[in-house]
Amino acid sequence: MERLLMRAQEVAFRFSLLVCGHAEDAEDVMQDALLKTYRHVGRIRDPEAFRTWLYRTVRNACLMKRRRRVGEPQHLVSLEQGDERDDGRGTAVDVEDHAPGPDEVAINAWLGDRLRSALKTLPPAYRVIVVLREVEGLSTREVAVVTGISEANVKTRLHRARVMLKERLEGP
Amino acid sequence: MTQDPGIDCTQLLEQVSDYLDQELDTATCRVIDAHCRECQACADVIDGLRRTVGLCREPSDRPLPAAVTAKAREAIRRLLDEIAPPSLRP
Repeated sequence: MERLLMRAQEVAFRFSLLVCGHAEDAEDVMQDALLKTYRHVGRIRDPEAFRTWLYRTVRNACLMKRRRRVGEPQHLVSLEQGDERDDGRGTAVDVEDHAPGPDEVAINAWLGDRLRSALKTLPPAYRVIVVLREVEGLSTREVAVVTGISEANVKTRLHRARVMLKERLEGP
Repeated sequence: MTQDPGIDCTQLLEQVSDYLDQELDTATCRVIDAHCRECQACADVIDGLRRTVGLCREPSDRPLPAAVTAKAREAIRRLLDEIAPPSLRP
């Protein structure tokens, strides 16, 4: 049980930081994942279904947290937005940047500044795919379930996101 | 007689993600490998994408920062204590 609860919080931490980009929100998202996983644990029958349930839960917690943030612009940006241009490349919706907090120096060291900066430049709809597929290691099918888009669309976005990330990482 | 159908750079780039994810059949992979032996530009693209994917996978291989792990453990302890306080445990 404790291992499962720890895993839920680890997922929440990475997702919150990498997709939503708010290190200061990560603790609340972790707490939410902890409580919901504890309540859900008796219903776990299939490990894969639990994985997709966990990532959907964490994704929703991140979205809800973001909506509650003080000073949030009236127009909310969902994780699916930023993909509305005709060429499908979308626009990068920059996540907030702020001075590093007490834990954030350690977090940056853990994550790597280069990767974090490059991820920030991706449109959110692409960033979520990269994090779920590459960082978290979900299959294309699982990513499709978590994000609610088709597997073909997951593959297309993943390919574009990889190319964009490569350009950012190789750039000056 | 078999004839290698070959592949041009555009066709290769369309399939490069499937290639990296090992989702292509052996014959197609051989065609791409053969193309890359002749085309340094495509070989460089594949190498760059492979490095990018590798870099993305690094955080999941590292343990979380100690401060984060400690907070997570403490949250679990508090939750379990609320549900079954130590005083009530057998």
